[in-house]
Amino acid sequence: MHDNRNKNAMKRVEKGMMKANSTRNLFAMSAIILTTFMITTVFSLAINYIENINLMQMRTLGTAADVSLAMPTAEQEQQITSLDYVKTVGVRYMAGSVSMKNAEGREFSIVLQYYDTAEWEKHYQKAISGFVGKYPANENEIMLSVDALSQLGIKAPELHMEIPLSYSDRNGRQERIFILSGWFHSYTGTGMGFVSESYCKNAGCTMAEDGVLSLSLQKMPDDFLRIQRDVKLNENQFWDGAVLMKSSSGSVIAMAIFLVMFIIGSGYLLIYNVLYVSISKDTRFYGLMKTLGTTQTQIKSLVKRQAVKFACIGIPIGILLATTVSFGFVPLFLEKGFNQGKSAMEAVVFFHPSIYILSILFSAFTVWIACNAPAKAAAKTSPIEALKYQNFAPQKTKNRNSKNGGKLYIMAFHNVFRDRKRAILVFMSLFMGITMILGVNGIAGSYKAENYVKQYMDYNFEYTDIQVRQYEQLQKEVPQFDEHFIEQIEQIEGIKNVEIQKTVWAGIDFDESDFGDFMKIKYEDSSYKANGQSFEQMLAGLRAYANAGEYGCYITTLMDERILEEYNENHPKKTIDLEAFWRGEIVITGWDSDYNAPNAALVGKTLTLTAKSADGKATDFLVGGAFDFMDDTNRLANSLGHHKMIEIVPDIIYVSEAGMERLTGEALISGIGVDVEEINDLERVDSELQGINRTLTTAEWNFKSAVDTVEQFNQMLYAQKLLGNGVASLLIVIGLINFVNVMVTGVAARKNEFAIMESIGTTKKQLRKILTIEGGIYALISTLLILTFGNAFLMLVADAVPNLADYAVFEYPALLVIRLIAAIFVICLSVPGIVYKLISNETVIERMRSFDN
Amino acid sequence: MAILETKDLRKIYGSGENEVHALDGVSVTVDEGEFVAVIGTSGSGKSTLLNMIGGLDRPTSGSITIRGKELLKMKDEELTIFRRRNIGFVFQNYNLLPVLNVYENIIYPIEIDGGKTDTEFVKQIIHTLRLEKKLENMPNNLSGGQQQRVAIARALATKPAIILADEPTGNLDSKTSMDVILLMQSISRQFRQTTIMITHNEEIAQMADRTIRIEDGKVISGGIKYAR
Repeated sequence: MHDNRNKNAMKRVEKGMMKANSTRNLFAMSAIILTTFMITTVFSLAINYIENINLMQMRTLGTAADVSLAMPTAEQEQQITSLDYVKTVGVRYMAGSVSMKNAEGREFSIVLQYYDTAEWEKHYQKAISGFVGKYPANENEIMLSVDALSQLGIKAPELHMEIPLSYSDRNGRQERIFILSGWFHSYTGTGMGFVSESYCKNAGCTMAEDGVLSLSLQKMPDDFLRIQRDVKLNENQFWDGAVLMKSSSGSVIAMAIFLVMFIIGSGYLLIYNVLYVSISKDTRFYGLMKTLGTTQTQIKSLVKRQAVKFACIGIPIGILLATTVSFGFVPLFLEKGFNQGKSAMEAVVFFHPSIYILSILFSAFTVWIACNAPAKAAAKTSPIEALKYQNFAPQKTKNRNSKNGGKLYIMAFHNVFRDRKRAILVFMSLFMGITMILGVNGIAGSYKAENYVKQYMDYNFEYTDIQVRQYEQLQKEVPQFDEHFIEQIEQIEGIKNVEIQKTVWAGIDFDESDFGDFMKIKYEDSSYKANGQSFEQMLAGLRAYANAGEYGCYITTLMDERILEEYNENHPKKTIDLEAFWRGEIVITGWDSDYNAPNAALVGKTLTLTAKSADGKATDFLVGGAFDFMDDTNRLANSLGHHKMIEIVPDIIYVSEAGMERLTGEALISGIGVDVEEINDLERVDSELQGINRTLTTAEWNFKSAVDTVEQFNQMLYAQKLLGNGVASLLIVIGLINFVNVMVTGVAARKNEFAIMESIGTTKKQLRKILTIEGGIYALISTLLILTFGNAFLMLVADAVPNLADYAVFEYPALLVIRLIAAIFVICLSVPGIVYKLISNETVIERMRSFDN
Repeated sequence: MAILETKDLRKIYGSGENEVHALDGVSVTVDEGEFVAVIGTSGSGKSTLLNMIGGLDRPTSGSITIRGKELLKMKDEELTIFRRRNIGFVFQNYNLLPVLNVYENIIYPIEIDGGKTDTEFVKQIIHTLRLEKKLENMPNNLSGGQQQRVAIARALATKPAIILADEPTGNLDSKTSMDVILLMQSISRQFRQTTIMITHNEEIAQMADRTIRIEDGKVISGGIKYAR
């Protein structure tokens, strides 16, 4: 074997080729830049999205720690600290809570805590932002979250300002003037206050009573399971684990991988086509090189070296562009959305080296596979064939028994399928691109604010009395809404209906024999049993409640008539006598569950109820049915609490309006549901209702508006929608580029063939007609694929949608399908003709010669 | 009667110092049914002349008249249609359409003209060119000589005024070359087909009725027919 000692010669050839093919270089480079840009953008968006979601979760949880254990013993503390898979151990003390009322009479919710250095630096600081000042060191120093400051009415905090607080700690109620040592922005929704170590010491806080150990582990969730096995807990202790939404980031990763594969496929097609056309054009040149003694390996490396050069320039430019977009524009968008309150997510851009490593690897891989086949083709050129070479479009060899192949449309058909591989690539890329767009859009479209409102609200506007929705609300309930208020609401234009829920607390005569079965079932699942108390002991407790007149529950009117009808349909064996219910003779108790149904044991029994109101008198009601949690999904009803926290009592008793009348005439209006005629009227009705709300003098009520819910929904999905739309537009661009690319190269490759056809008399008009028919065939077949396989795919998406979110409802994107198909036809029918016009400016003989020489 | 007449044809490429006179005042006449060979060295301008006559390229000045029609006054589209009705091309590298089989290639010029195929005439050509057994073959499956015979058949199919053949034997071995030339000669006589053929082979040129000799873009001899 002889060595090849002609490296320099090859380099000279390569240099010459690069110089001579400046247009091709530009195209190849652009293809690589585009591919790299898209790959980098997808990686960057995906990684940033996951990181942002994780950050948001960490911030909402208020800690970067994985698990926590409250009130640990000294042995437990020692054992945990010595475990090798525990990364960081932080200590928290629950120091107290602020109990003050603001000007409107609302109670504050500020938690006072002490965090040690490890907890503060390693766990908490990651979950907050905008920290100013320092952690409290002296006993009288305090640090507050912006939330807490605003509850206290402080809008412009200053360091060392005085903060007078009335709060309670382990020693009871306290009054103190603290000095503000710092503040920060927290995302947990509760006001946070931090005190110093010396404060805790003086207050007498201990680990076993007020302490919490907060741990970050090496590997979640494996180590979480390990620590549960390794450390023995006392009866009342439990591990509190912060499990992140791993499934969501999993689907983002899967989507990103799928997208990147798609981009690699498209990038491959782009680069491959550019190189292939250029090599086909230079076939004679390669043939000549071979004639002169260049080996196959040398020709292959000649092509590949050029590709490497393109990659060396194209990949960095692509990455640079993508970086500008993902670090410049995307955060700008998110930041703007966040500042305008459109997004719940603050834009934090993460610099991840893996984005670039992955992008370079994948882009280089794309270039490599794309140049491989053309390089091989160039290397395989036989010198003799190269001299005769006219067309690089593949030649058919199989005989065909037909006489009408010369007809324009039949020629077009044969042209489309002349290179089957290529035809399949076009169909696949068009079909896949469009199907993906439809899929992404179908998913994005299924998240609709309207559906979200329907899922999370029973009415467009909901008023609730919060007194009856709290536990242990022992003060007498004060009516929050009155008939006049209801009338005002009813008078607003565009209101469809106003439904009123009335509630009263009533004592129940404690008849041990009637309640026997009920109590037995309840006991099994109660804290009495869990705490080792016997049934008898429980009974004694209940008797004490009964004697004090505290044994009872809230009685409420059933708001939705359909619920009863549905109940009877769903439970044909234990139907409720509707008429008796509406007459007010029977009541329904709740709530049971599948495994625990004490209320069912009350059906058929008679309860004597006495409303806690001025006109309350003992009234008998027959229990006509028992609801479980699923029977009444109306949230106005199922959010009712317990007046006194008695476990062994029905959670709720439903009556009809007539039943309530029998019981009392002074029931509270505990809930109001308002629906509008037209969903578009929502904002107007909202502002009118707000106006009426201002006339209320009471404060123990809550107003929930669908407008807020829509806003909350939009905030929640802002970033996701941005991402979804970004992905969809990326797909459209890829699909278009792919198709235009294949069309352009397909026409350019046949330049010589067209020149021959013209030379024997085919007019330009006829040629354009052939090309237009070819485009039409591409469009037609792609459309057929979309309407069959594409729709099948959409059906799968439709199936998956309800799993994505409980309010997501899939809608077939019919309009989009029509638009996309129209777009395909417009492009397929016009692009080939335009390309032909561009390449057919030279005279026939010039075009024929460009291949001859 | 002259079916083709060119007057003072000139074709200049480039300008200034790089000016090349590919054709330098060429005047030629060809009568109906004549089989003319154009001979000259490489670069003498013979292919340029043929392309001008076929309307594939436009001269810098001069005129070309075929069947009394002035070519240079026609628009592109008009010229293409005139070409497919009046001129048949035979190229050195055959230039058959790869997506069509032999039969389809032969009748292609008739089809694109929207004309009805004269089946009897096409059969006759196919028979003369001995292509009966190859009609279903794709061009790629044929030898060079066979491909050139198909190209000749295609050129003949529209019964053109003139067949222009640019070195039709350039890619063929000598035996096949002779075979093809004999066929062209016999066709010219059988169908009274005017044929202009470029060659640089003196022996082949001798088989023509007349030889036009071109050097440096000028006609040296044979530009006008003299009575023998």
